[in-house]
Amino acid sequence: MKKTASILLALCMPFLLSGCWSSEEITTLAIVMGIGVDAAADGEYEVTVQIAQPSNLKFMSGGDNQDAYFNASSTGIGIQQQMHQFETELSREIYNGHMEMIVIGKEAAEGGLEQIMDYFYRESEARFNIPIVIADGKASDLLDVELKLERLPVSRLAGMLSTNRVDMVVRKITMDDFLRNAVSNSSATLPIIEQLEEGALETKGVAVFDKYKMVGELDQEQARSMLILTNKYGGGIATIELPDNGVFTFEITKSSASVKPECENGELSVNAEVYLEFRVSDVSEIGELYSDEARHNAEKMVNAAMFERLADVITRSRELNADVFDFADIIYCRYPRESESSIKNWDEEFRNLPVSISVTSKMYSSGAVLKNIQ
Amino acid sequence: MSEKKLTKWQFISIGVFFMMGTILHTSFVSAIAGRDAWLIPIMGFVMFLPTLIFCWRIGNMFPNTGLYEINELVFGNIGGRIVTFLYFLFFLNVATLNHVEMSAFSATYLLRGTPIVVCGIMIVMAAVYAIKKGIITVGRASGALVILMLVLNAISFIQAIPQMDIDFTAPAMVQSPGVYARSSHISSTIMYGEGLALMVFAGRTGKKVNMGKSMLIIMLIAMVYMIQIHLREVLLLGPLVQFTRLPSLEAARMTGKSDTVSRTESIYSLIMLLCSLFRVLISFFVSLSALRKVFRLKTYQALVVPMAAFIAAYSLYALESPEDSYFYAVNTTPFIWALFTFVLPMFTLVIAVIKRKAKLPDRGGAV
Repeated sequence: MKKTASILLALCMPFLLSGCWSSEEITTLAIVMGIGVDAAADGEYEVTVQIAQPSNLKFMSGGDNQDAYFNASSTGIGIQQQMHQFETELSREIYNGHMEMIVIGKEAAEGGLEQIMDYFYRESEARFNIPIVIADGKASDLLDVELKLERLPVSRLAGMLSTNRVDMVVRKITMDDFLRNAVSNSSATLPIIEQLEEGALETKGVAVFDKYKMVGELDQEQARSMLILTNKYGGGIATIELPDNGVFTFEITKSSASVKPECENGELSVNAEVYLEFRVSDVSEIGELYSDEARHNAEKMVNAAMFERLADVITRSRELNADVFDFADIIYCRYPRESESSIKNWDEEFRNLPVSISVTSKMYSSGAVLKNIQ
Repeated sequence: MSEKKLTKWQFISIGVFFMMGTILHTSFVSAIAGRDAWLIPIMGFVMFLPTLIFCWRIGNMFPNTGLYEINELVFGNIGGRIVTFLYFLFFLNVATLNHVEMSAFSATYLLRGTPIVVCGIMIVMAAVYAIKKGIITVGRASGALVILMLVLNAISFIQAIPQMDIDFTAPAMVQSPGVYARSSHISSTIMYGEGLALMVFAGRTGKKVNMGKSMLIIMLIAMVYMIQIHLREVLLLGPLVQFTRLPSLEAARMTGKSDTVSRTESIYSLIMLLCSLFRVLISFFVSLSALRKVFRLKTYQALVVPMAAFIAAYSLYALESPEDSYFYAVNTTPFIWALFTFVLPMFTLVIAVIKRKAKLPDRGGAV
C-alpha cells in the first residue's frame, strides 16, 4: 500500500513541479518600464505606460529604436482602474516590478499627488526607490522623447538624472525620498525635466511641494543653492557675471554645509556655515590669479555671489512657504521639546525663522596653467 | 521520532531560529514606535525579564522536565491538565496568528495571484509533513539554518550601509511614554513571550542543559537580532517605517548599489518564509503536545492532520483577513497573552515554591 502510494506520488510530482499556481510566463506579461500620469478633465488621470518589448531590447547597432517599447494611454479615475484597462486592451498582465521611472505631468502635480503616490505605495510590485520626475508639460510627451543612445525613453530620463552629477543642479529623488518629506514637516522637491523643441532634454530646476501639492518652482540656481544648503550637492559649474558683461566660471569641486539650530529663550534660529572648494574654469577678463591677494579676491567674489544665491533660495522658499531645507527636522532633532509647539505651527514659524548664512571658499586650483594667457 | 536528547546548542539553535520568525512581525512595533523601534527589543527584553526569571527558577526546580509535565507536578493531575489546556489555547493562537501572517506574506509578495487559502493550506501541509517526520529532527537542522540566517542578515545589513541615514534615528526617546509602554509590551508578549513554547522542549533536553541559562542566551541573541532588524528598517526607511506593512522586506528591496545585487530580495523573502514556517511549526507542535497531555494520548500523530485542518480553517476564516489578524495582534493579543506569558509562569512558580516549602519540614526531619 505504502509502495503504491509512493509510486503514485512520484508520478504526480512532474505535474506539481511544472510551476506554481500563480506562475506567469514572460510572454503573458506587459513589463512596465515607466509610467506617466497627467491630469485630465473632471479630476481624472491620463495614465501612460511605457511597455518594453523584450525581444527587441537586445543590443544591436542601428535598427529601429521605436520597436523596443510602445506607449499605451488610458484616461479615467485613479491609476489602478487604468492598469486594469491596459490589461484588458493588451491581454496581458501588467508587471510593475521593473519600473525605472515615474513621470508626473506638471498639471497633475499642481492638483496634488496623494492618490498617485498612494497607488505606488500600496502596490507591492513597485519599489520604493523608483525615481520620480515632473514633466514641464505633459508626462506622456516626455515618455515619447526622441532616443539617441538608449533603447527606451525612460532609460534616457534615468540616465540624465544619473549623469547630472557632472554638473549637479537637481538630484535624483526617489519615491521614498518624496514620501519621507511628505509625511514630515519639510517640503518635498522633485526635478522638473523640460523637452526642448529639437528633442533635447533639460533639467529646469525643481518643483516644490506642500505635502503632496506642487506649490511652485525653484530655478536652476535656486535648486543648486538648495542642494548646497542641504549638503546634497555633488559639484558642478557655476558662473558669476562680472562688470562689463564679463563672466567668471568656476567648478565647485567640494561643498559642505553645517546647519546648526539654536534655541535661545525659546527663540529658534538656524545658523548655516557653507564651505566650498572650487577650481577656475574660464574667466572672460583675464586677470592675475596667482598672487595671494588675487586668489583671496577671487574667493571673496565667490563667497559674496554664493551668499546672495543662498539668501535668494531662502527668500524664495519663504515665499512658497515651503521648508525645502529640512530645517524643521534638524531643529526637532536637536531641540525636540523646545520646538514641539513651533513644529506644530511650522508653516508660520518657517516664514519668520531667522537664518544666518556664512560662506567661505577656497580656490583649490586655477586649472592646468601656470601663467595667464596674455 | 528520535529519542536522542537535545544538546544545549541544539536547544539554543531551535530557540534562536524560532525567535527569528518574528521578522514578519516587526511592523507591530515599528508602526507604533517609529524611529525608536530599534530600542524596543531592549525595553521588551527588560519587560520580559520577570518571566525569564520565573522560567529559570521553575527550570531549576524541575530540571529536564517539559512545561506540561511541570504543570502536572505543580498543580496535580486535574489542575495540571487544566493549565496545560490553557497553554494549548495560547499556543494554538500563536500558531494561528503566525500562520495568517505567513499566508498573507506569501500571497502578497511571493506568490502573487495565488489565493491566500492555497498558500495557507500549503504552509499547513509543510508543517504536517515536518511534524510527521519528527520535529526534533527538523529542530536539529536549525543550527545550520541559524548560521545561514545570521550570515545572510549580516550581508544584507552591510549591503544596505551606503543607503542608510543615521539621522533617521534622531531624536531618540522623546515620544510619549505610552508609545514605549505599548510597543515594549507588544515586544515582550509577542516577540519574546511566544518563546515560552521552548519550555515544552525542556523534557527533551540532555541532563547538562540548564533551561534558565539557555533561555537567557536565546533571548539575548534574539534581542540583538531584533535590534539589528529594526535598526536596518529605521535607517533605510526613516519615517516611512511607521507606514509600511512589511518594513523588513521593503528595506531589503531598497538595498544594493546595482540592480543585480538589489534583486537579492528574493533570497531575503525566502529566508523570511523559512523563519516564519519554523515559528508556525514549533507553535503547532507544542499545541499538539499540549492536547496529547490533556487527553493522555500515547502519541499525537492521530491529531496532526485534524489540528492542521483546524488551524487552516480558523486562521483563514475566523480572522477573515490579514488586516483583522494585524489589528487583533496589535490591539488585543498583547493583553490576553500577558496571562500566559506572565501570570501563568508566575502562578506556577508561586505554587511550586509553596508546595516545596510545605514539604520541607519532612525533609528537615529526615536530615
